[in-house]
Amino acid sequence: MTANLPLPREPQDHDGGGLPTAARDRAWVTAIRAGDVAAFEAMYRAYKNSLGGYVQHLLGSREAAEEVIHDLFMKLWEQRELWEPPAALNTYLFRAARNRAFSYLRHQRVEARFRERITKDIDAGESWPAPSPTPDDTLRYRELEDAVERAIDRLPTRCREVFRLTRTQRLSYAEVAQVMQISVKTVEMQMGRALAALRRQLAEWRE
Amino acid sequence: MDPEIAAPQPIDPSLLARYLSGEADREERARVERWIAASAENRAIVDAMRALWDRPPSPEFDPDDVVWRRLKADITAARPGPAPLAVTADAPERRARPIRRTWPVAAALAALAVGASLAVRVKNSGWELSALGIRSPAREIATRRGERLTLRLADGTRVVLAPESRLRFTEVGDRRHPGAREVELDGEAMFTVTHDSIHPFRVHTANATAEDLGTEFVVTSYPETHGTRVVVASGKVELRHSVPGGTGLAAVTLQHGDLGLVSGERPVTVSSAHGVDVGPYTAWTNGALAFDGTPLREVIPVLRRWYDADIQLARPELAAMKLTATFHDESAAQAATLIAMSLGLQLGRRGGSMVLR
Repeated sequence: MTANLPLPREPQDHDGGGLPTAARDRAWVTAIRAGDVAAFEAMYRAYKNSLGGYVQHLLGSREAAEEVIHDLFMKLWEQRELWEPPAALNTYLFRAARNRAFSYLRHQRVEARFRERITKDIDAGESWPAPSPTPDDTLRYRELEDAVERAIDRLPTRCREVFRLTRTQRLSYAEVAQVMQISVKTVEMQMGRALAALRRQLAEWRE
Repeated sequence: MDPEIAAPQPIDPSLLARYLSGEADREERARVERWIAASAENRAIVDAMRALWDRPPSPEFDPDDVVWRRLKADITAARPGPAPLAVTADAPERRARPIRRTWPVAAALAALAVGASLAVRVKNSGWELSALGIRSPAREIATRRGERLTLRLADGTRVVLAPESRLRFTEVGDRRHPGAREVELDGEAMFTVTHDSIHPFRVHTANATAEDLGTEFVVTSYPETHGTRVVVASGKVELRHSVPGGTGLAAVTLQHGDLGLVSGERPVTVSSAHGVDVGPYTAWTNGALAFDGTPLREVIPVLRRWYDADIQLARPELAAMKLTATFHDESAAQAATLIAMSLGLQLGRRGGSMVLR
């Protein structure tokens, strides 16, 4: 049977300001280096959802993600006068967040528990907001969504990370390659794997 | 068998993934679209995949704002107190050239993208000394080679800072709380001062003080100036030699079209010339570099500073050649070429430098 799927959602625009993102980011770096707290807050607010969501995905815990994000921005502020992001601000922040998240993992030794927890969180509906009562069409869409989410979470770790960075955080392949320090070819290959897995999930669901 | 429900032809998953992610180039898009058009099943697969491929954005992270409140508290704890000084800066402008560096290390306002006009509010964050309980509201802004910066002080005075210059504010009140207005300058800047006869605006260089009497004037004190030069575009400026801990000795009052010079070498003299064409001295504030019968030995350091490009003379005799030219938006190489052409010289390269011979 087929579902009447609603139109795909519009991608979320993470840019909060009226300026093109690159100019806005450069302006923020300049101002923050000079000690401008308002710019620091603006930058934090523009990136907190995507960085926080990404770190939360890596660590499987909201509290851990809050701690990592806090430490990341605090360190950045403390060293602001020497702050020289080498490339685009967003890849810099994602890379820094990733590094911190992994060192947090090493420090906490929660890797094994992480995999377990992700499955538990999904089952408990903690990772995504619980669906509210909806008309039939949307309900079917949500069931599929949940199935897809489970399929994504069953992807191999790196494949899943690549997929989340491109499709949830909307980084380009080149940016993902920068953040994860892998080649673009690897990104393409991982995305192909993710697509094949989702196709299988879709086919199963439709039967 | 109905061809419409035959098994779908395979497509490379990586290619389809690139297509759905918006990473495919034109040729790839065409290939995928041919595959889509080949059967209804293919179309259905892509339509369904498209819906799933766009993942919803991350949900609101930390909706109670716990993280920011902690950050704000930690930041405020590290700072000495409210900023006594607010400076509004326009985007600093760079000459067109390939960007070789990224960001300056010193606490200075760096170049923003050319053409991005933006007001950046810079608040004083105090010095390290403040942690010891000594309040020092001094603030410093510096430009590097190739950078020019326009800023507005809290009292409304406008300052255009030339390249390789540093301005230090010791006291600048604002309109509601005026106080003494003193700045220190290394390098060159043009000041358009809001007049306040009770609170004069003073620019201190290493060996001189220029005091505004309601003016627009340029103060220059680079190493090669061998002292301090002041050119007044409008209004009145008092220029005097200054010694540390002492009052100025000789003083001269300058008006529109006057050039004052406090020599850097002994014996110290304070001299002035009248009827000077102010244009070449202020052209740089509008992005133009003007030379009027200027010997190359004086032109070269200016070009180095404005373009952050290394330009050299192959023979010492060339230093005396006089250049009359105005540059606006040319790159360093274009300017050097124009100089070569107008003086009948050759322009070459040696290592990373341009050489006039």
